Amino acid sequence: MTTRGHFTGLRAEDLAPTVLLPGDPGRVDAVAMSLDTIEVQGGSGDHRFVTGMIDGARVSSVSAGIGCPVTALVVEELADLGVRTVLRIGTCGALQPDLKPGVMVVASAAVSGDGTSRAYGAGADPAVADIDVVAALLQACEAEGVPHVTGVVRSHDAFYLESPWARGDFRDRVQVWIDSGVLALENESSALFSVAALRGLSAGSILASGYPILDHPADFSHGEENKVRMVRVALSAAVRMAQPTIGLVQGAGSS
Amino acid sequence: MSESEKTDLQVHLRIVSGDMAPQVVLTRTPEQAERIADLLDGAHKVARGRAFATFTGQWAGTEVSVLSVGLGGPSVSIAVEEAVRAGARTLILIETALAGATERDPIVVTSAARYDGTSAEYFPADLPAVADVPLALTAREMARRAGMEVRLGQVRSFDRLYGVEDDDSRPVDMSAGLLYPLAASLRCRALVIVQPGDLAAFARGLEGDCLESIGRLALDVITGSDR
Repeated sequence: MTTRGHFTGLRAEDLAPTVLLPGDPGRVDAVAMSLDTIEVQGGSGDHRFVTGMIDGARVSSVSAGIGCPVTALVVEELADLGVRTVLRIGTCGALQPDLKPGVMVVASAAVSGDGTSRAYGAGADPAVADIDVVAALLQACEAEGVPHVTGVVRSHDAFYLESPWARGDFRDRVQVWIDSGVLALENESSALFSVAALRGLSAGSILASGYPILDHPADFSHGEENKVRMVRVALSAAVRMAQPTIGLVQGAGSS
Repeated sequence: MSESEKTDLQVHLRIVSGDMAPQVVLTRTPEQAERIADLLDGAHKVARGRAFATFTGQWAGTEVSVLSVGLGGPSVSIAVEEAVRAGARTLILIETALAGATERDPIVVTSAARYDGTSAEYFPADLPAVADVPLALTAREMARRAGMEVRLGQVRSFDRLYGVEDDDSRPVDMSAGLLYPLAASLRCRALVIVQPGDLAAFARGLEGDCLESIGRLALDVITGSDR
């Protein structure tokens, strides 16, 4: 009997060791269009998937849906199915003034502002990205000439409490994060990092920025071309991680 | 000026005011929403954004919308906030729940223990998550008339399913604990009806005859509650 993930319906042989994980199922199709060849593709609802080859590396993408609860469910299944590295790709609500559409946010860690991370025991333990995944993302950004900022993102559960469309005053709620230097708001990275740490996976996140939400409150645009660029950078990072020698710093030796 | 500045276009569901009927049946996936919409007269797809699909049609002469909301508090909160902004007032979510093998019949969820993070962000910890009582009682009555065995009961709403040690027999879902207080705060009415099963069944979600029978019950309740 071939084991399939309960939520994803996927088998181990359907998946590459490195998986790009968007929330939006439509973004899986965007990844598929960038691959050189497609081995398998499908899925429904929140969970679409594709596996194929790019630049000699086998890569997958599986969509989780919105939020930490579904992200944790999917990442647990990916771990069960032999995946080693999970790279979240998505969009974020910018908090710092130097962010704008076209800039990528590379997460070093995430504020565990969500219930799922707490259910996984997050407290004093920070939800951090894998340093080698972060390095691969930075190298990919540089190689593709894409502007980027690295730092902490805040994962939260309630978009409609901490966004310009909130019924109450969202400014007071987000000011503490702006003052703390947090780059952006999003909905999934803390659970990804917590579950990855628990299950021994490597994880990171790269997010396409919009305008700072305090300055441009009604504009939700991240730019279609920027989302395409983000997918290209993420795939470039995945290719680097699949070929370990590429990650060596020039002149620094091999250990 | 961005698209969302020009109109009151909801940024995830991609709907505007008037796109949502006051009575709305909620499902997890677009495929389930379409199956329920197929039961309606004159059903048509109104919009699609991400995995949020909106359909509208008529059931027993009353306009009804069907909306897929995803799974878990963050996704459901986005869908409900936007649906209400676009006109929704009565919401019935049909879903699966995790339960022991002795539970076979659908459960009309009267209340939920809030273990989820989204409701904790929104509301004080001691605010109870409770269904709209007339909707729950109507569901019991409509089920009886349809010859369906149901029971009324409480679920626990969790953000995590894997790796959880559990010796509590109350069924587990991922939505009611957020949906009930959020609907109340928006001055809307809400009910959740779940089919209990094991983890594999929970993950697959409502399907086949079960999806249709619980869907018909939800449609009867949501249109009958006005009479």
